[in-house]
Amino acid sequence: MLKRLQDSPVRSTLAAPVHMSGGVAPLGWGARGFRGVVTSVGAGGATRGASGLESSELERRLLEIGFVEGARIEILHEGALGGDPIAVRIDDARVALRRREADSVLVQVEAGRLRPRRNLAA
Amino acid sequence: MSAVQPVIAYALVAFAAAWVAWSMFVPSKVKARLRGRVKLKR
Amino acid sequence: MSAEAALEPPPPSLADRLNPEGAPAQPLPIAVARLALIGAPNCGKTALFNALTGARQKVANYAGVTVERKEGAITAADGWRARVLDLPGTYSLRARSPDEVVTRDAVLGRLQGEAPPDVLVCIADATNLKGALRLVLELKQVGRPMVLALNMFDIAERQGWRIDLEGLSRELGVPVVTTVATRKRGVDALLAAVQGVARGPAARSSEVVWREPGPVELRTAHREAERIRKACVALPARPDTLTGKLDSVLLHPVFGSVILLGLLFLMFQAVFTWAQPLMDLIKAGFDHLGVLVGQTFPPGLLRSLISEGVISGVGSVLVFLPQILILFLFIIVLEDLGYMARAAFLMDRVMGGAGLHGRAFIPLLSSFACAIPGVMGARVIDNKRDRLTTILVAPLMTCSARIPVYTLIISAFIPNRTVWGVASLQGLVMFGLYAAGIVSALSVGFVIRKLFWRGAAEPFLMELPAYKLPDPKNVLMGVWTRAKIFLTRAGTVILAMMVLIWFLSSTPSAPPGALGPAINYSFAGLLGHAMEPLLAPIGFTWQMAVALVPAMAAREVAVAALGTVYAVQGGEDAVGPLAGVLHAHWSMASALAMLAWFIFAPQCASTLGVVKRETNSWKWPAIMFAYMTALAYAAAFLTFHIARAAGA
Repeated sequence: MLKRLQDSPVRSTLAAPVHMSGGVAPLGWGARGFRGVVTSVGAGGATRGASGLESSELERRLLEIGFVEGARIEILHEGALGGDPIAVRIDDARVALRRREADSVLVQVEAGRLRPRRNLAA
Repeated sequence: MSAVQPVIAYALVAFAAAWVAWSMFVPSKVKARLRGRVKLKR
Repeated sequence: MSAEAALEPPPPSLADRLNPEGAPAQPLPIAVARLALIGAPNCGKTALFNALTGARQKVANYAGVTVERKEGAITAADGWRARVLDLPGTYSLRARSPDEVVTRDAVLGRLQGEAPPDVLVCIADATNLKGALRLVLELKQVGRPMVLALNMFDIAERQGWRIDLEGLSRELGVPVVTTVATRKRGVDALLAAVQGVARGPAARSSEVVWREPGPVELRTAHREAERIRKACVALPARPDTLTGKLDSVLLHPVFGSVILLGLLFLMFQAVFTWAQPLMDLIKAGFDHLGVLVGQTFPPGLLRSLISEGVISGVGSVLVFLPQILILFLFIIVLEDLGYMARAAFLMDRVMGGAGLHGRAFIPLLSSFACAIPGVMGARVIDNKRDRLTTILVAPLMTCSARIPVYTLIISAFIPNRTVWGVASLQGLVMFGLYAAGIVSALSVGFVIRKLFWRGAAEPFLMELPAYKLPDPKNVLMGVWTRAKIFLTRAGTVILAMMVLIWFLSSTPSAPPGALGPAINYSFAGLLGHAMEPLLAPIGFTWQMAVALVPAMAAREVAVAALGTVYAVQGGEDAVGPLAGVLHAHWSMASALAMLAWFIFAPQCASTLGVVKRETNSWKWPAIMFAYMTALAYAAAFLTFHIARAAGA
């Protein structure tokens, strides 16, 4: 699913939200209501290196704030401008982060949509 | 009284200058060390 | 004996005393034990600290760093005494911000000039145990005696969390007590547990081992914490749904932003309108004091020093106390409510566009009252570069010391006219000056990040705590702490600087029979005259140049200085007559140039001093002074020449 999205020629001009059911997607791609279970943290995501941190440092920070494999997460809110940053529920805690960092969290999607983004190309 | 005034005033100015210099230009680590030494002597 | 003397010198560690070469533990003497409170932000740590120590607190800085050190004293009913250190909040010992470094080093006993704590009191929000369990597990590795306090236990009970305290204590290997800091519940039990572990076997091990966990260790700790949580904590019967409901409004893309703007508006109203009567009162008090000194002292240098240097100088800074207190009242209430994290969330994109961190929003907001709390507030930002950028742009926000200068020049030169049927022209100019401050702060931040510190942007990653009703007592205590810090500064360093600026403005005194104001003959006057050729291209007369020198004390002193230069009696009070004098002496272009100058000018010795203290180096205040002067000069130059070309 992820692979297909990345290779799709229409990815940069997605007009309609993509409905997800199953499959793995970076948290940073999700729209409001997107939920699932974390499968991997610090995998690099689609925009590796865009974050100012070394990937191992980012991984540790994500782990420390609660993004750990197996955690149930849901995107609760999106920022007003460009849907960034996002507010995420991790089990019973709430965390705010930018999509760029959220890209390093891969999620086994249970429900929700992907947010159309113009710059999905790496 | 009028003769004493400038003396006191300039003494206060000198004190203020020393104070500003101490609080602004002396690194806090040096201060901590100096304070520590004072304490040890006591 | 002062409070400081009572707290010092630090006694030898309790552990050392209890274990003199393996001798049997003696009955605990009446000695002072050291406790350290450690916990995540928002766990009610400060409330518990207040509950433990009451008013017996002392706020200072740790040696060599500008992290706030809060210490208090406790005496239990049985005469057992302890000193409590309130360490900065942290999620783990893997420290990133200067505050967290202090916490880590204090716990590990590495902090210069601090004896290691005898007992760690780890505080956890009982409704958010998972993260706290990880911190406890990490702290256990350190090997110091420890007690876990489950704070806000009343809220946990109300939500129906079922926590197996004995099981938790067994799993973690530390005593667990429950507390409700805001009602002082559980404080005695906590102290009893602390005394217990202080006497216990754990106190004997002085070996401190800790190393920074990597991703693997973090995942293991997560699993362990999750296992303990599952074993000992049952999910609540009535979970907190209020936070979710509030968030759906307060974080709403449209309503959230509208509410934030509304709150900001209310805050500005409060800072500028509610504070006014109090400020007038303080001002009148200092004026009265000045008159009193004038009547009791014979004329002379000392009288001039006391009335013009000390009283009017310190008075000109102290009048801001009401504004700063109201500002902090708002900030502390919003912080305790849990709203500040939401404000940072809402503002992150706007701030991020200017290369600033979402958390920079709060310090920059404070800077509207005064840049000093703004610069100090930048401590909440972890990343050094983000913090420095915030500090560098904070003085560009229009602080309230600029208001007297703006008001004077606007009332003298901008016609009191209504434009577009509704808005007053004077008000529009004032608004334009504020907007110019905000725009320039954001642009400078943008330029700094784009030109000098490219790339490395700190991730925005923060917890959104559950909403809680602030405890009035803790709020007042927080405001009082701020007041004490500000008053201490005004009474020490600022006082000394005022005396120096008085000296520059009054020495040497005018020769007998001299014409014109005495400041003309002083060092400040000489400096002003020397600067005149430099300032002529931006349309400043020598009188304006002279007024800029004492204005280094605080921007609004420029008003009083102009009054002195033009020999107008009454100084700041006499805005009416002074405005008339300025109108007669200055050209419109010069006046506008002066306004443009004050948007950017680094005219505040206290701010530069605070920046020096916060960054621990002269480099940053020097850079700040240089770039702000350059901007001020360029802005005044452009304004002056454009205005003159336009015929003003």
